[in-house]
Amino acid sequence: MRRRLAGMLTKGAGLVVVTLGILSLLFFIIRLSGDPAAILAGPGASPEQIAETGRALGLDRPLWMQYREFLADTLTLRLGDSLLTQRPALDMVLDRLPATLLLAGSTLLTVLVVAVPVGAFAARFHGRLGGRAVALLTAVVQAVPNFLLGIGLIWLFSLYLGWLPTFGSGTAAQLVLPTLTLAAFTGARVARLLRTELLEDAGADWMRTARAKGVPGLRILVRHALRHAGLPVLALLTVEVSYLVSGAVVVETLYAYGGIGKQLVDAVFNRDYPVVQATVLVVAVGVIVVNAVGEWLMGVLDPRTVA
Amino acid sequence: MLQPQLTRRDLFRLAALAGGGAAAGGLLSACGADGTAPASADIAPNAKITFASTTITNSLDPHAALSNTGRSYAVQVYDTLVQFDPGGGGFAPGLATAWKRVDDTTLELTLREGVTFHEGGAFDAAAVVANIERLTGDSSGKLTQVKGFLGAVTKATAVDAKTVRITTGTPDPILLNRLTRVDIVDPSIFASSTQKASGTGPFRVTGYTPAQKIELERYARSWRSTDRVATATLQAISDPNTLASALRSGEVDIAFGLGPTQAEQMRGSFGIKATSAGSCAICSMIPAVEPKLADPRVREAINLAVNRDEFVAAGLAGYGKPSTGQLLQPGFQGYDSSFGPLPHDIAKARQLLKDAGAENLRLDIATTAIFKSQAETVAGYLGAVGIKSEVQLQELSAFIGTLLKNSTVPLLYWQTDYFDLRDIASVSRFGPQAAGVQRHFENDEYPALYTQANKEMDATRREALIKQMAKLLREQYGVLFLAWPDLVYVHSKRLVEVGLTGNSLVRLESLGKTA
Repeated sequence: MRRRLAGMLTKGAGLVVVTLGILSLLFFIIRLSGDPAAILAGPGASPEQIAETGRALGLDRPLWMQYREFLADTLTLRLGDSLLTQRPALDMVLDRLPATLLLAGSTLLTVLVVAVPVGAFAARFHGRLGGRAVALLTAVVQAVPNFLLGIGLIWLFSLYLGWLPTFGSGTAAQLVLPTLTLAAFTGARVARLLRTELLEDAGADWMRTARAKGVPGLRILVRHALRHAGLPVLALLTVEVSYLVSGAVVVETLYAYGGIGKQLVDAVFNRDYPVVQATVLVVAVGVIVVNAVGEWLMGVLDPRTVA
Repeated sequence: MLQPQLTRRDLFRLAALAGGGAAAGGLLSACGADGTAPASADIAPNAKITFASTTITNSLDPHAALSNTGRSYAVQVYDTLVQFDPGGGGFAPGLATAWKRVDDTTLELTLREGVTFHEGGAFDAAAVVANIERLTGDSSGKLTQVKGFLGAVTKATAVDAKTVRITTGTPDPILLNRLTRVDIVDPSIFASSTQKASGTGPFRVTGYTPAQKIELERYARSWRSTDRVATATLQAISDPNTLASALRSGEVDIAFGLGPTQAEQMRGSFGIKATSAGSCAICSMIPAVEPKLADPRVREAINLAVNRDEFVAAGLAGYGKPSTGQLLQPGFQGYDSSFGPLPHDIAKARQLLKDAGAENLRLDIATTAIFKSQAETVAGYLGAVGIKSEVQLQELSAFIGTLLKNSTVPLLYWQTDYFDLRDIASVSRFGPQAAGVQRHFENDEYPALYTQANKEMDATRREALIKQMAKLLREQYGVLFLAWPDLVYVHSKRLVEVGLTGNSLVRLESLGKTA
């Protein structure tokens, strides 16, 4: 028990160091690549006005001094106010976090509900027309960029059929298109992986044994094959959750969806340091939590994976 | 405008009229598909309007707003003391109904009576003084842009409840222009101005989701109020494709921020409202980066290389007018109507480059993503006269630094916005520069004229000075003149009247929507 606790603490400390490392890197990149004072003062400002704005914001101080303060503030979760809105940066991120979590959750659910049957179908009908069609479809879906798929979905569901809104967030209808757009790539990937795993398992000894014992095909699939093939799928999904954040940046922008992805993009372009830092901190914590949960689930499904 | 509001900020954003005439006097256009405006009787009262643009204000506090994106919101909720007259180049009353110069540094304004803020407080001279003091006394850096517009204003004094005097440290010929940029905020909400809004405009804020949308409802006690629009939503849709789709699906009534080509594609199915942007598209030519640009022959050759009619047609999809070799366009003080079109002469351009020993010149162009296609068009023209040129895109924050301080790229494509103050004073880049800052036009006379014009209180003499500046810039080919782009609003055909302010912002209360 003590050993396990020590392991967890070591891991936790490592994650804190990694997070601080990411934030530090971000600190320097974003400050050295643009000047928020220029944005705040505006295109018509004189260099003197920009300098005055920079002074008022403390941006004229040496970088190491700003970094020292940044580290102290980050460790105490004092992330400051947005330079643009003057609202607390962490509040801004937490205000929008539920929308992104909802989008991520609905995406994962869609992936599971759609990709698992599709992957199983493709494996079951491998080599036949249905299986080939699904394999082709998933390959195509995986190849289509998010934004292009999104534009196509808007055209079909909003303009042609008139069923769904083109933009916004807050209602179930407004969640559908962003979810489909975000789920498409991951879903196709999961379906293809599952298909491959199931096909590999099809020739395994334990599968032959189950069939020889007269276990019904559906039961073999659900109770044995999917459980076995589910491990790599779970590992993939754990990784994909991290990618959902980058996908959300595109999708939230396309659909004017009010999540942290869009806010992060705006903050980066505006050099709104506090908001960028708060967003990255929250995302880093989120990814860490998801990885921990993923590892735990893997351990439950296959205790051999626990060191 | 660096952004079509800003554009993407700034991308380009951008009627009320004299004495409270709400919309009527300010309706600059509004035609149906067949070009005829339906009778006002067809306009339904209490409409709900959704106005979408690529960005919305960054703050509910108009004093902290950046760029014209903020103005598109502020003009619905707040009033200014005076405003640009949408019908001409002059001024129209706002919260001040009359004004007079007491002396060169003092302006006295008579305030409108019976005006109340959304929160219930009365508008009076004390409120004006509080607003001016808030801006001039700001040291937080958060109100910089609006504070900058105040220029030399040093103080405001309440003479009585309905009279206020504004004093400048030095004579300021464009003080009235400056006052068009100062929204009067209810002083009772100064401390909470990022969370709530209270102005005197025809709409009050009922909901705000930062960077996404603002919900408005009619404030019937406003002196600008009409019964046309009951509620409105200002919605940010940053992706132009989605913005166009939202218009097509009917979720949005009027949109700002579509590119000119995209807007043109929608013509026919939608109404288009194109109006002067108060801006000139140019390329700065920086001798400090490429010494050959100090030679007037090279600068002339570059100007001769561009076919401006074609540039407007191809680069701006027809939404603009070719510049006649001056920054200001018709309707602005100092516009010189005697300037003819700039010639397009490739053979002469090549000869001039040869004479100047500037063959095989390489002149890259830096700009931001929103001007990419226009800058590429310019690069194409330069290629036709033998100048190698590639477009280098920079992020806005980086480009502002490049533009205002120092560039390592010889040409900069940008737009010299002057819609904000409707005056050449806004184009300070060719005026006096601080030590260490690159000069975009290496000429000592121009900055001197600029300084003189900004102190000259006599309108006739000032106009002559501005014309002198324009003449100098054109004779020396100080910049690559391109075009005066338009601002473009695309709207549903159900919107049959679209009123704009004097600096081309939509007045929601003026919109006429049919049932």
